[in-house]
Amino acid sequence: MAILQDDDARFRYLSRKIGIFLLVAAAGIVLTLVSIGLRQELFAPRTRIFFVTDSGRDIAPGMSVKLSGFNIGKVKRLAFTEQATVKVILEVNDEYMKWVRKDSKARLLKEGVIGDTVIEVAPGSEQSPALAKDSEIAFERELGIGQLIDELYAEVRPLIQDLRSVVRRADTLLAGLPATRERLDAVLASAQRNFENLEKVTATELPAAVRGGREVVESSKKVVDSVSRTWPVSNNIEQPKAGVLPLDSYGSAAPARAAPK
Amino acid sequence: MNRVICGVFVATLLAACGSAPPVRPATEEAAIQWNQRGQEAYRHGEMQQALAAYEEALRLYSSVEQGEGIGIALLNVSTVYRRLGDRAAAVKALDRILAGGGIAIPTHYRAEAAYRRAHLDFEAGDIAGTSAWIERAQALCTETICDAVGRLPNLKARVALARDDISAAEAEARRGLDVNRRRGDALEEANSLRLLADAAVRRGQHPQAVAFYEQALALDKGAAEPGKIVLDLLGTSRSLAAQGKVTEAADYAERARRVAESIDDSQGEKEARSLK
Repeated sequence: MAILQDDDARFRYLSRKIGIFLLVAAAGIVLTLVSIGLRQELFAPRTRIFFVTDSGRDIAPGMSVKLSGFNIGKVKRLAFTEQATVKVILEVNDEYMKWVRKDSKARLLKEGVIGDTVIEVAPGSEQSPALAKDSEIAFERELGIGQLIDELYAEVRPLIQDLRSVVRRADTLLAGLPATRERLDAVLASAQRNFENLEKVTATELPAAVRGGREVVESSKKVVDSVSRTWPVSNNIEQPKAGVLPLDSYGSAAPARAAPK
Repeated sequence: MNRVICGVFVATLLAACGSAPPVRPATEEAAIQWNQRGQEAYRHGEMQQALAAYEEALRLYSSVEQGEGIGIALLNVSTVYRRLGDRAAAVKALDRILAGGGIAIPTHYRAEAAYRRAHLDFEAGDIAGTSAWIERAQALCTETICDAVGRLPNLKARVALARDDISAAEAEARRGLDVNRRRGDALEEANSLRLLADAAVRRGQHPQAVAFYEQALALDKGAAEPGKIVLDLLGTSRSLAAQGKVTEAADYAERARRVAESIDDSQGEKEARSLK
């Protein structure tokens, strides 16, 4: 017992010191919790709204609800309805409820290609009243990559089939090409032979024919000239002569265009 | 036998009659062809082509020193330049004819050149120059062959009108009318009548003016000269309007407008519109 009744001055008021220490520690813990709660907006007043969807796929409690990229609330929970659809209950901070209106629309989308899935609420029009507590908001699900690929495939598939058909026809045409080329070669060879023959003809026979024709024309001209100079034919043929352009006494400086005569 | 002799006689006679006329040299033949091409181009309003053709004809005639051909070609070159609005070039071509010495150009072509020189001076407003060239043309126009003989009095009448000498204008126009009627030159006869009408207008004798214009119109229609028809119709319209015959005047103005429109005579068209 003598050990417990140590008169060391440092142990004096020990129980009081421990009490104060515990009180300060407890206050620190409470303050930390309050601070975390405030940062997590655990104490912010919230309004519950919901939407109904065919499937709860990709939707989970705690998922962020965003408006124009800002967190405005969370998915509180999911529940089955009587019609086997899913009722998704959202909690939106009251301060943001002024932008959530009756014509607002909630969408399930991914933030980026591999980002988190979030519920994005599109702000409603100014004319529309604010959404009341426990009201339903319209919902649509953005197409996922898989669905997009499915739709794209449905569009591209007929094109692929057409392309196959074109390729088959091209194959058929190409198969016939050698024969066509052979025929074309034969035609070109024949044309070349014809041109060579034509060259021979134009080099030898044609000039002679032209010369002959010219001689005939010149002879004919001489005969016609002789006949035209012979009486009485010469009396009926007016000899061409040079004439002077008229300039009458009433002609103006800028005469009008001569009428065709 | 007699038939054979007759046949030989007739054949010999025909052969004698059929003696060939003198054959033109090739250069002259080519120059005539260029001249004809020039006339064709001029008629179709293709003045540059006409000029090129007449200059080629002039070159060919010059190469053989053919005075008559040179005179014709220079007169034509001058006329084309006048139509192109190049008075200086037109005068230069005529001066080559009128200058003495060198290759002899027949006098009637020199008279024609003097007449055209007078015409160019009149168009330029040089009345004194016009009178001087008319006198020279008359002095050269003494031969029997002188085409300008009927045009000279008409041009003198125009000069007299420009000088407000109405009596002299009437006298020259009447002289021109006589000469042109005698020569059977319908176009110049119409010009004489139009000048008489113009003189009557100056005297304020509008009914007489209308009568002259209508006679001129009949001749111009016969000669198919649309430019002159426009002048006759406009003159008639003006004289009728001066007499207060507004409706008839408008009819003549409309006729003038239509004729002017058909030959692209914008000046005539404008004048006709102002009279309506």
